[in-house]
Amino acid sequence: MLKSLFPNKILSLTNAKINVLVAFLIAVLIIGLLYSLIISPADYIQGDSVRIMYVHVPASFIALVCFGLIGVASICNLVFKIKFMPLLAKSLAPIGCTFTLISIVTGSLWGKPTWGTWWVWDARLTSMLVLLIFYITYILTWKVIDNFEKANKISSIIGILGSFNLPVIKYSVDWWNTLHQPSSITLTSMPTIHHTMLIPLVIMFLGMIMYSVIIFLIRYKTEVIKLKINKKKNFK
Amino acid sequence: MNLEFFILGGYGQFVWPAFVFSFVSCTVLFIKAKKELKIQEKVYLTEYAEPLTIKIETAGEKKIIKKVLSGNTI
Repeated sequence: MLKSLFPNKILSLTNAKINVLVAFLIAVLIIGLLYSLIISPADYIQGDSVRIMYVHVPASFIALVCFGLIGVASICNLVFKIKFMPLLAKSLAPIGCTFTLISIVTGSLWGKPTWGTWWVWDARLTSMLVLLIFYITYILTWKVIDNFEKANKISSIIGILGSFNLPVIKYSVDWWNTLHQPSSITLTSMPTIHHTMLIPLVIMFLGMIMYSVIIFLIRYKTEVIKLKINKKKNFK
Repeated sequence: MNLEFFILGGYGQFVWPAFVFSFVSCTVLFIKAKKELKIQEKVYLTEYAEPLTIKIETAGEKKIIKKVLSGNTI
């Protein structure tokens, strides 16, 4: 699977292939939205505000996974000097940054009717804000620093440092007293959500993961082409 | 149209902005990513044009040659 991410392989990704993926994505999202906004029932305590969960939870999950992957890619880059790792990490950053922003904004919109406030400086919310700052710093490093090697080193260090924030985000609800509820879905146990809400949540998860994969492929191809252009420029 | 669908039991003012914000953010990122890819592809093809297009052309030429040869044998 890793072989298909080799820079030369990604160049064979045509616009037609991307369009097919987008068509699949639109179909999944339409089904997901129908379920989330119409078919799924309102919560007996939170009422219809629970529907925000269908965008908030997948967005938060993708935000964490993206930075986790950036962390792994940064380690592989610094330790094993795998050349295409910075390109992978660089392509993932805008996706993670967007989903972190979505997570914070939708969380805030969910917090107002549920907790009575848009924002509190509790552990989960603050650690998510820290994640957003790490994402922005990571992206800015690549934008501001022209020298590839220098930007690569600094961004890798940011990637590794930011990874330490991930367990803090995950376990913040267990370690501290927070307004945020503990996880309803974990990888190790059965979900406590009723199936009428779990189905739309899973569909929205699939949709957002598909979206992330599409954006990643587009951005990764862009980065590979950029690198090729720079190499040719330097060769000239 | 059923107004309750938009009001969502009084929570519409929170639910709709959440969905709209997510949709708009994702659309903006998609458009930006596609636009940047197009620009980079254009730069590469205009300044250093060679790889993908030539490969496709040669494959096409081979097919034509094969067709011609098979026509000759019949």
